[in-house]
Amino acid sequence: MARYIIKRILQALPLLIVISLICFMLIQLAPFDVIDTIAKPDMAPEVKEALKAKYGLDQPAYIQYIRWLRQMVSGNLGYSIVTHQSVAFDLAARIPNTILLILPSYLLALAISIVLGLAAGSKRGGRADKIIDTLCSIGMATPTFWIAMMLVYVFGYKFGIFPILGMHTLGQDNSLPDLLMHLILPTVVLTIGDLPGTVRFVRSSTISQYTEDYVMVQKAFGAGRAEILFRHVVKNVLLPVITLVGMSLPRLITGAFITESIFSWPGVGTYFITAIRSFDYPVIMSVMFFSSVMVILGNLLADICYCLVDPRIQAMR
Amino acid sequence: MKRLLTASMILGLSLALQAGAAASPDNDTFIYGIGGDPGNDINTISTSGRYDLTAERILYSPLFNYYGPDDIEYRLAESFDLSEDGLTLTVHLREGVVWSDGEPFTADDVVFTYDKIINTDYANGHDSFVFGDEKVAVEKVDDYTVTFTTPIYSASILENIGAEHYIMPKHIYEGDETLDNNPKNQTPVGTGPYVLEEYAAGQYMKFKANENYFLGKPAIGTLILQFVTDQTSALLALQKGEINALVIDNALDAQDLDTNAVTVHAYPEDRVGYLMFNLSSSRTGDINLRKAVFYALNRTELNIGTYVSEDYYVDAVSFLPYSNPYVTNEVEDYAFDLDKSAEYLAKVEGEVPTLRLAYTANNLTQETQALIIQQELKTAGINVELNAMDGNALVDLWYEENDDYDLTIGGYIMGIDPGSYASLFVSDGSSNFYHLSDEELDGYFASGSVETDEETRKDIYKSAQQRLADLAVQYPIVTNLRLLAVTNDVSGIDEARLIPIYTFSNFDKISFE
Repeated sequence: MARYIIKRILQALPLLIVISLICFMLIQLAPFDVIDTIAKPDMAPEVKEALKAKYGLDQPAYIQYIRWLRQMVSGNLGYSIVTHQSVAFDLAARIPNTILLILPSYLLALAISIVLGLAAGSKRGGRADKIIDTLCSIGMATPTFWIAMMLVYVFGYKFGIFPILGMHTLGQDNSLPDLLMHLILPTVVLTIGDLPGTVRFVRSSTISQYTEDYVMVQKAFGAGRAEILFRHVVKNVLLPVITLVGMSLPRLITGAFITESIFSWPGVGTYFITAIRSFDYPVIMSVMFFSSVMVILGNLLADICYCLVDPRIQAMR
Repeated sequence: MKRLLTASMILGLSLALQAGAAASPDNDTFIYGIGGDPGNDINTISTSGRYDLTAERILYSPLFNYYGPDDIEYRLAESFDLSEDGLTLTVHLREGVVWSDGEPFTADDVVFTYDKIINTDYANGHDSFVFGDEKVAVEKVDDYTVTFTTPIYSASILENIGAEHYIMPKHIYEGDETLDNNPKNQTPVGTGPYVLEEYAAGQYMKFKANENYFLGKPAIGTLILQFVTDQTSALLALQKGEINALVIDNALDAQDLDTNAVTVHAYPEDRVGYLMFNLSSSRTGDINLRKAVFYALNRTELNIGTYVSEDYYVDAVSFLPYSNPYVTNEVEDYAFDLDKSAEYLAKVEGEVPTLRLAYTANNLTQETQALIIQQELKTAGINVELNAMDGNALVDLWYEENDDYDLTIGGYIMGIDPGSYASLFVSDGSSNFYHLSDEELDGYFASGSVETDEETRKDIYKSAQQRLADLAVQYPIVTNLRLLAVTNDVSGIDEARLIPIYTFSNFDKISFE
């Protein structure tokens, strides 16, 4: 297993370089750069040129890329060209906030989805299935920002139960109750946003398992509905969910832009989008790099989990 | 199960009570919601951007604030004398001022700051201090006197030297190679009304009143710049009292606010919004076509359609904002007249081309203006094709001579001296996006910048405004007002003085009722 993991990690390295190269090229292809974002209309062309020279943007693209790569390898993520702030400092401050928001909401959505998906899939066409399926359709058709705005308006403004902005009330940075109060509305929004897709995934996976021969065999042996579902079907249904979880890992880095924006949550999502808008390439490249690492890591972890959970796969290898 | 339910309800209730009690700021904390995170690397040389500059003004002080020849607020300077030839400005500094770390402020700090600006080619305002190969000379006379000597006469010397240059401490930065990305910027030492207490990335910048502030300790103990990323939820937070002040992006929102909770202050940012022709396009060379377009536009309809209420804008007819001391209304204002438009259109040689109007995508104001312009010109028989573009890509296009667009919508905030507008309109101007080349206009800007007699200067710039209007390349639409909503428990907004970019001229004057 250790050899397999090392092999996979080594395979991932060239992939990371290719991804970073593509990102860099896409940034270079744009007809303007970050200096256009920070330049003012009354700024003389010489000053703009001086700024370009200062940030190395006057150099050919490949030199800029090599310089960035060398910096990355030495563990230096560089500085934002717009705010002059260290990217490592900014990410270190924001990634925990994003994880704090994304992880509980995702786990909550996953837990609820498994229950609802199994309930719906195990009795296909039943009343529960119809209700759950309809709710999922409504959920999928409802934009997250609308749900967020409704919750903010009703529970934040009208009833004043929850705070609207940020992560802490000022002066209460170490208060856990205060943090939880700030966390509730965005978590609910993200959970609602994640639910429909995951419920449908679990539901269809459950339905397909019920068509398998082993279910028929169990039925023939006289196994009860609960026994079939919990002893046999669940295991097989949860297997593909591992892939789903693995694929969601990059979100811990890239955040949830819309929800973070509405609640002014200080996560990576808003930081990343602001950087993209202003072509702040040191920030874009760093976030892209880490999210690529998470994609590769997510897939790797999913594969390892598959091996551990399903002995057939290990046997095949 | 019941116990579990009861326990969770009690927990929820106690959380709500605890957080609810803390949701509103107390009367010693002013929270200003701003639309971005300036980062914690404020230095007075290269900091740019609205929010960074706002933080800079809270932390540091300039020599003086220049709002016009008769409207100067002295800060670190107590007074100044201008030599008869207008070449030397002697600034007398305020004595007894100390930096927030207790060190005395002296002429050395002023010379150090201006030397950095003059010798750092990417510094803010650097180009105002360089005249070809020669530079402005800054010299210390004694501990509290500094002279600035310009190689050639510049009518805007006061604005160029005083405006937007904040003095930094020599004893902190002396010998440092770089001023941006400098770790010392994270613990700024300034002479501004507040000192930085805490920066939370992506969340807020917290300042506490500077005990040593030379104009007296600010009325409010804690000032917070809270970063808000969504205007709609921020407006709700404002009305609820989670924040005390917020700039409103869309005039429609200002109308819906709860007046029992907040008051909207509309103030000029000296921004002129305009429609302009791209003269490098092959379709815009005919002045008759340009005049036909301008006469077909209804300024009132455009502005009411965009800014909702007359309280939120002032019609613009000149390239200068209405609040500028040099502005004149005695220009061709192209008042809406369809007959005149038809007259000029008839004179257009050949077929009237379809005009391409480029504007910034996802900018509600420009989208509204573009749609109204398209409709109005259609009535006059001129077809317009709309082309929404990314803001940065559009600005990049403005710099190039091209055939891609004929008309575009823009806006600028320039200095107070009309000479600062020269770069927009003179033939070799760095921001001459019109690609305009007119000797007469160039002449006005050239003579205006060196004229010493104030009345003659006014006449020169009046002629410049008239000439630009006659050329029919820029159709000034509006000087829109910036809308700042403030909770009703806050006072002192007039004393704090609302100004372009920074919002408040004097943050120390804001108080609670």
